[in-house]
Amino acid sequence: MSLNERAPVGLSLREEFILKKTRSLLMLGCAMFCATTLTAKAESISVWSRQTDESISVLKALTDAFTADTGITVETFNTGIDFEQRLARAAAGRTLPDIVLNDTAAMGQMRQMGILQSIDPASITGNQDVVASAWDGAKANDGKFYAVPMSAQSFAMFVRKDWREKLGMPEPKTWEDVRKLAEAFTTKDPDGNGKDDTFGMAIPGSTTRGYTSWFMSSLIWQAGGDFVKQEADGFVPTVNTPQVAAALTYVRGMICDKLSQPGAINATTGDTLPTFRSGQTGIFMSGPYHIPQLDAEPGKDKVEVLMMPAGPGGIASLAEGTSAYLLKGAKDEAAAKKFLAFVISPKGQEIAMAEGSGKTPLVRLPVNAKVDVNAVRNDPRWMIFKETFDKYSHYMPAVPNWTAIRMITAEGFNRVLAKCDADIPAELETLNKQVAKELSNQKALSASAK
Amino acid sequence: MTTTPQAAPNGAAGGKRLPKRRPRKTPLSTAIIPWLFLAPALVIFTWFKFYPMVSGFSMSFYNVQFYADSEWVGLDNFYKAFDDPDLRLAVFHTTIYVIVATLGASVTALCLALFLEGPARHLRIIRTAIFLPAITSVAIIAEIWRILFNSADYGIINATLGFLGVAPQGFLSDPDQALWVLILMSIWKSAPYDMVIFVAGLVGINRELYDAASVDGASPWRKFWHVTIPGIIPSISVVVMLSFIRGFRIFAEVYATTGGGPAGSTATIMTHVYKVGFEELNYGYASAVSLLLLLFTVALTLVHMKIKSRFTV
Amino acid sequence: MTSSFSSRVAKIILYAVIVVTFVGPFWATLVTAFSGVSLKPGQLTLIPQSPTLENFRIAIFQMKVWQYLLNSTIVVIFGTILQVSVSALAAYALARKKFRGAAVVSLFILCTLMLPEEVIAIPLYLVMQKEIPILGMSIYNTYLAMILPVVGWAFSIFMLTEFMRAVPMELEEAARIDGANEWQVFVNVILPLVRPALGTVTIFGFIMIWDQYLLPLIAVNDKDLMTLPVALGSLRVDDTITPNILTAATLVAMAPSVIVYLALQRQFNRGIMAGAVKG
Repeated sequence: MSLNERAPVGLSLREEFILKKTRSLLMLGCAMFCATTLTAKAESISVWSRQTDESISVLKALTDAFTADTGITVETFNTGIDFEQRLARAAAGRTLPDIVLNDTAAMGQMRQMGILQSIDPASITGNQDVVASAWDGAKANDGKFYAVPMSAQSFAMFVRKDWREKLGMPEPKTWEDVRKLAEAFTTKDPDGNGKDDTFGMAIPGSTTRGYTSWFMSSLIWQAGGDFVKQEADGFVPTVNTPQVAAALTYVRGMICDKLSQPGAINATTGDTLPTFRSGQTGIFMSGPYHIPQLDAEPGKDKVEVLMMPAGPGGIASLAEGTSAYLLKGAKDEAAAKKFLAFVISPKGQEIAMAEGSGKTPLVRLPVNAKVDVNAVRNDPRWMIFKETFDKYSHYMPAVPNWTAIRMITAEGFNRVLAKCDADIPAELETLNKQVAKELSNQKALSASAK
Repeated sequence: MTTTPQAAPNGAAGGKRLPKRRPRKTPLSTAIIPWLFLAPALVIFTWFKFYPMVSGFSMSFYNVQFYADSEWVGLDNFYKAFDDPDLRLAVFHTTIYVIVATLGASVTALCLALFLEGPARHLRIIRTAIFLPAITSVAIIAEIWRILFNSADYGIINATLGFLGVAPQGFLSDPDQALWVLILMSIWKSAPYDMVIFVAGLVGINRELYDAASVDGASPWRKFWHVTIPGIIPSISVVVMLSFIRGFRIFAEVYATTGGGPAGSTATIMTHVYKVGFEELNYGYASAVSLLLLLFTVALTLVHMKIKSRFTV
Repeated sequence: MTSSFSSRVAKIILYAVIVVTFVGPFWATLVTAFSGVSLKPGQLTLIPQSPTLENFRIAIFQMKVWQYLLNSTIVVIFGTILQVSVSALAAYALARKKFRGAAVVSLFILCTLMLPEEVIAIPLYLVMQKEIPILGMSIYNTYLAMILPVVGWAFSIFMLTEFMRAVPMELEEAARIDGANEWQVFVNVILPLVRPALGTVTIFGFIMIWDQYLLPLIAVNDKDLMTLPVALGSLRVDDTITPNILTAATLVAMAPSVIVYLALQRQFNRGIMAGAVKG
């Protein structure tokens, strides 16, 4: 019985625990196995976070510090799967949490669900310390803010340094360099085990949750292309351009020439990370959140972080972030806003950066200008991500519901990547029409594209 | 599984004799007693199955909003279903899947049953061992198959093929092969189950018919065709129908292996519903397609009953 | 002589092929889970090497599989008992009583067999949120939310109905002449006679409840209440977990079904046949 009575994070006061236990024993008498949700006496908010259990201690550290500072208790819930569906159910059941920590790119979908409350940045203490580019990610296409940015990140290439040096290859700086390195990793037995079991680049090509589109975005910008072009009256889809075709041709070459891991076309990011960790692949495009895990395996001395390669359109990377969203029906808005203020405060940011914990940090690059990444991280690799974010990064376009477009483009890109003889321009032309149709459904299609 | 009381051959006898008992009881208690016994089941079914089902299907007529009031759209979701090229493709894949997997599993199961039928101890042990796939949950089987059919040349199946001089195959990564690998997986999982049904059918065949055929000098093939097959027709009909009805709702097997990819080559009706409804959160449309699927399944079941009653009467 | 010898060899080879085809994959999983070799994704070992229990230790204690196992056990035990009891009661009415509305009730129950679970996820969630009058609380986020919905299962009702129909009327009449009331007829006459069938539906119910995924996913929000299949789903997306640990956790999840099947095989096969012959 005491199993399900474990006190939620923040409710660890001994008294309450005992009270809860007694209550639960009483409940056991009348009704079999019923857990009670204790109505907290103190001020309390609930926070849901889209993350796996691996970094649960980081979230707990953040909320514990908040409770210690304000006396407001926090009930947390986190999951890496089924997050959006859970939110949808909670919305239908009017059991939403007060605050959700989720990807910046999820804003459109959450707005479409009608569960977000707009926030006046001025009402959040310390808002002026947050860098402007981060606020951009929290702004919807109607000009209002629906979240407080808490973390930003860009992407870079993790490369097996030991393999590269063993084969005497230079640090890759362009698409051609990366291609050559991938070829060498695939054919020249970089791990020296005498078996032909290594590959170049780890590619997540699955359409699940739109991974294909997410992965391709950086390469599309490197090729000088984009998904859509924003006009005064809406968006024009641009996935039929030669630049997008170039990006797909490049990646398809990696897959069809077997320079990427087997099964890349069905792989999610959950599948690609282990390929790099276990020494199956040697090039892995990812965010700084993987640094702690890759330091553990394959090892800090074996991995280097290099800036994204330059394609025909130069260096580019997807910019992403995590935002703290305020939900409709928050029971105690003042307490919730205190939490938002805490999240962007230098103290909250540093705790969530979880330096030295070996866990995936909640805050990757801080959004608060007063926090010095270099001082906290003391790791030059992080500076590569920061430089990329500052100079070369692109947020996903601010269409009303990006998730829908991401799913459609993932499907279309996957179709191209899966067939080595597919007619890329023709497939992209079809895809462009589908994107236009979806934009039109979202009432965001520019008249010039009709 | 698809039983109704009316269809049961041996149920009629008990039922017919019941009225004789009635006069002794007061009519009221006779009328109430069955309902008292049914009450717990009816409460549970109504509350946790029927009510959610009806309200789920009522979403078909709405543009579902989660936090605000949903918008009534009439039959729009159904029109969309008939006009959705992705759904058409999904129906096509599902149909191929159902037909090939059903035939494959039935034939495999029949071969297994003929080969492994018998009371001998080693046969019993083998029958028990190969039943393992049937009791393992789909999620676990999907995981195992993803690993077995890994497209690397060290993937177990590819390594075996390499031994035989065949180049490594893409399997689940290849749009031309993925659906067939899933069909193979379905056959693998359901053949042992179907085999048990067939073994039961074979045991039930009157031995004298075989003896009679032998006396007439029938070849083994003729015996199989004229004695064995007619004898297990009821089993075959059950296996095929169950497989059809379940097959059209195929979801977990696909979702956990390919997610409908690559290039949409394994998208089935339910993975399409899942994608539209639960990843893009268009619940109204997802409900509409599900309702259509349910109606189709009910129709199939009715056809099955009709055929069955023709056989048994 | 030679022909019978070669045919015997052919037979043995065929047996081996069949067993390897259907059991081989499980063998590979088993070996991998017990192996300490670090593996690439998509790789399994077939030959046991550097045997270790470490994977199980990590899975069970570090990943808290023991707790999910306990939750699953609680749900499956109470779920199965309630399911069989409720089904037996309903089957008694359907099999032994003639009453107005019997056909409608059967149809009503039959309908629920065909609904795709995903569609009712949201309405079911809303139902669970509602307060139950007598308890004064909702069952959401409790064991009850995972147990009660599986208590109604059309399959077991129909199977028990079939078996109860087959009980001769004379036995029931004899009991009534001895003064047995309705409940006594049910408990003392009918139930003992369909005991094998009760065994069968118990096993089918057990496996069906053990493998539930969607229901526990939507029924609880509390990590400490998660059942094993749901927990496995989230372990799979956790990219810090190696294939060896995942296979170990998978084996733990598989074990109960396999054990129940091996122990109660006869009832199990009878169930399949009954379902087939009468279905």
